[in-house]
Amino acid sequence: MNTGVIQALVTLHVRQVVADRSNLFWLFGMPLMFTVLMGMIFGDMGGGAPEAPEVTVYDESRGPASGALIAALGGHENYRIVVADSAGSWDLARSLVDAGRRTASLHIPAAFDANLALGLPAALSLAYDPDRASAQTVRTALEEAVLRLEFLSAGRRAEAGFDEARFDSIWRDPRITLEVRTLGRLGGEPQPSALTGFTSGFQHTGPSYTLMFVLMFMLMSVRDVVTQRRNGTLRRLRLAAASPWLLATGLFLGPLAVGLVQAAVLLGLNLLLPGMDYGGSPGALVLTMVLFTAVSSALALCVATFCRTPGQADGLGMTASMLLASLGGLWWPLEVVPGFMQKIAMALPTGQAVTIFHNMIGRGWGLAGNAAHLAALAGMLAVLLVLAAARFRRLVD
Amino acid sequence: MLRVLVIKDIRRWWSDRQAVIVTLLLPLMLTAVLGISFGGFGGGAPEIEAIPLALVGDPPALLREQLERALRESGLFAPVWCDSAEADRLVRKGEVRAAVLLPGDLQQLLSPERVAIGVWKDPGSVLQADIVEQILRRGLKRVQGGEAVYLAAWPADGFPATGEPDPFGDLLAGDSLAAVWRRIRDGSAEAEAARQKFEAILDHQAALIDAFDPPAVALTVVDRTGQEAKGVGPSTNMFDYILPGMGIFFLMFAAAAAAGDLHRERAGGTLRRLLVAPLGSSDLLVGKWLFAMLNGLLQLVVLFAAGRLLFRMSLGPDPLALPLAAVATSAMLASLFLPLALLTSNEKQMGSISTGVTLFMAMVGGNFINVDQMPAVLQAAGRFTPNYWANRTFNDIAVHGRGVGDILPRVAVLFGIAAVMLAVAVAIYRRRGGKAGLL
Repeated sequence: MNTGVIQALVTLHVRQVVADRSNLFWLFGMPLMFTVLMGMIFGDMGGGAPEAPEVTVYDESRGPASGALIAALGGHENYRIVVADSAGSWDLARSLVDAGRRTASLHIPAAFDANLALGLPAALSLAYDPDRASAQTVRTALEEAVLRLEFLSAGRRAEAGFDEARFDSIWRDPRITLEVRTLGRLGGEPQPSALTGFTSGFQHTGPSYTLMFVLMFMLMSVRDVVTQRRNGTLRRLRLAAASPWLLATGLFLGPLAVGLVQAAVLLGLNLLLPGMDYGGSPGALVLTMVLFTAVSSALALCVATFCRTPGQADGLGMTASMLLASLGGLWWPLEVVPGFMQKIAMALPTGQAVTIFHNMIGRGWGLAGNAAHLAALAGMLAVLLVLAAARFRRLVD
Repeated sequence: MLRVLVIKDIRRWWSDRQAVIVTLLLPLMLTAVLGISFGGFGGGAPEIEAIPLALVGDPPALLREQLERALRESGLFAPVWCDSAEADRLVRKGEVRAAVLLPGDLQQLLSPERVAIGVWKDPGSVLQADIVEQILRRGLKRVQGGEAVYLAAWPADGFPATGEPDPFGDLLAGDSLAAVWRRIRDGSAEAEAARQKFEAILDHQAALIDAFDPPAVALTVVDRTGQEAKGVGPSTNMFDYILPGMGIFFLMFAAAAAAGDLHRERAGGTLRRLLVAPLGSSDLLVGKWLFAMLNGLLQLVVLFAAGRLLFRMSLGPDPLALPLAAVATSAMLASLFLPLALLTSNEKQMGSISTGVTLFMAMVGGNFINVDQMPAVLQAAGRFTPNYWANRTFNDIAVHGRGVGDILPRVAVLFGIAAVMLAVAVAIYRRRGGKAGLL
């Protein structure tokens, strides 16, 4: 085997990538930017909210009960309660939400306190935007505050000697409680240094966007292969006694080498983000990235054999990378999608790879725990290599 | 002359039909993926997959069956009973998202002792384990509230402390069932005390049940459409959000490709031939802009038509609003990348920078995630991206059902950006020597 041809093709690809400085942005800058920004967004959605949209309360009652209700809603990090200076109507409260200017508006009518005191139903109206996470939190908090009022009011109605102080004491410190624990990845009791489940949005976005941009850069380089074919470079190499196998191997290994460097740098830089690590199995980490990068390179070669023009290569490359990323769970955790979509994800290299990362970070699994997923990636690699080689041979012969 | 230039560009674009199909299909495919992931096919409320849940405990068979059936029929959970070791294994392996550990002796729930219900969460779950916890917390709050109100109203009905009289305990004390039965049948003091307490408890419970009717608070919750909210969760067809976002995202790529056609024409030699034709000073740029705008309009028309047919996307109540927004968006995006095409030296450089800019703007401007759900700093940054205004305009129409009058300010912003970017492109073109500078 003439390894010189392979070496030349690999070197050529690496030089082409390095020669264009804008590639550095694509290789490292863009993935890091996505990781950080999307990590911030996921973190916010998960509860640690830097965003605090306003919830306006129109309190026309201005009594102790309405005051207690407003106090019960306060102190949440996902929204901030603003009590309007002037009393406003229900229509005004609703119009603010309709216009998208408030996540929710609460209207407490003038008779609220008086009705509660008389044992009559006290009306309360909430207008909210159900598509906002903060609005859902407001609704939950309001329903809990209303539940407390219901119990309190029922107690007063049912028994003249109802002891409100005792009620409050038991409400705040109930006898039956919930003890929640996320099983730590080190086994047994959670260790102080161990991650307990996903504690940071970066634990998803770090690996996900590394995988996505490795795949995307490979598929963007499909255009280079198509251009080489169109301008006759591949034919000239073929005439220079390079077999289709050698050419295909060189075109597969070049992007693989670049992809591995890209993955190593990105995974290393991700470690600087809060809460990031990859579990305790370097072997699983390395094998996953090698297999995924190889699958991506083989896929890119396959795609290249189906494209006749650089325009087609761009379109197909972008289509493939976007679909593989979205279907495979690189944009959002797979557990939020329906079961059949999860099954589709497992048939894709992206789904397998991101699952391995979740297993490594969340569960602390290594090579043995992830063996099935690693085997699936290896299987995909084998299929894609055979397909790419067969297509490529037909193309250059 | 402009007409000729635009027709020429359309012919060039149409000559690579495979690329055209990919350009038109990709937004639809991605929209389908996103929509089915979060909203179910055909729109409507999101479908929630039953969460696999392990139950640990040893309740009586009847209670066990009822609990399991109730959880299963809720559609939220797929429960399985097991022991704690198996639950630990299932949770760690991710085969269930959480395990609920009931007290070993359910009598504890009816004793004065403090009781904890355990929840073990899957370390690999970022969402469903939290849902289990939240639902349990809400359910438990009712139990806790019930106990609090009852004991605050009738403290004597509470569990007797050590040394206090205990009518039920006294009645049931003894070493045989026969002894207990004799005490009941003979109307002993213990049986009478227990009967009286039992009656008091039933009276109190009946009084408490009555006290909840009518409800003290009549809470009305309405969503943005003014409809009374039934359940918790998004009420909008997810495609109303996703489809315009994806459409604009891919339109940015198409606009960049259209602007980058200058480089392709230069490399192919057609630009040189074109420049010797009797063109006005800015005709070439305006021609490219017009082509990109028509191309963008076509994409949006195909996308919205397919979105309406396949995903029941709302096109808004005002028949003029959507076309106006589509024209303004296409005009804005068509001009957005023209200055970049003039400032870059080749197609690859142009492609690389424009893709980076597109991805960044899409992320910050709300094409992937609703801007309202972003952190404050990103929300503020989003307003400086042109696509933010396009996303907002389409949201106003499809999600909020607004008409032309409501969207006019945002449409004005879009046309304003289009005019500014086109003027910038013309200024760069002239500054670089006009036709000669292009070569």
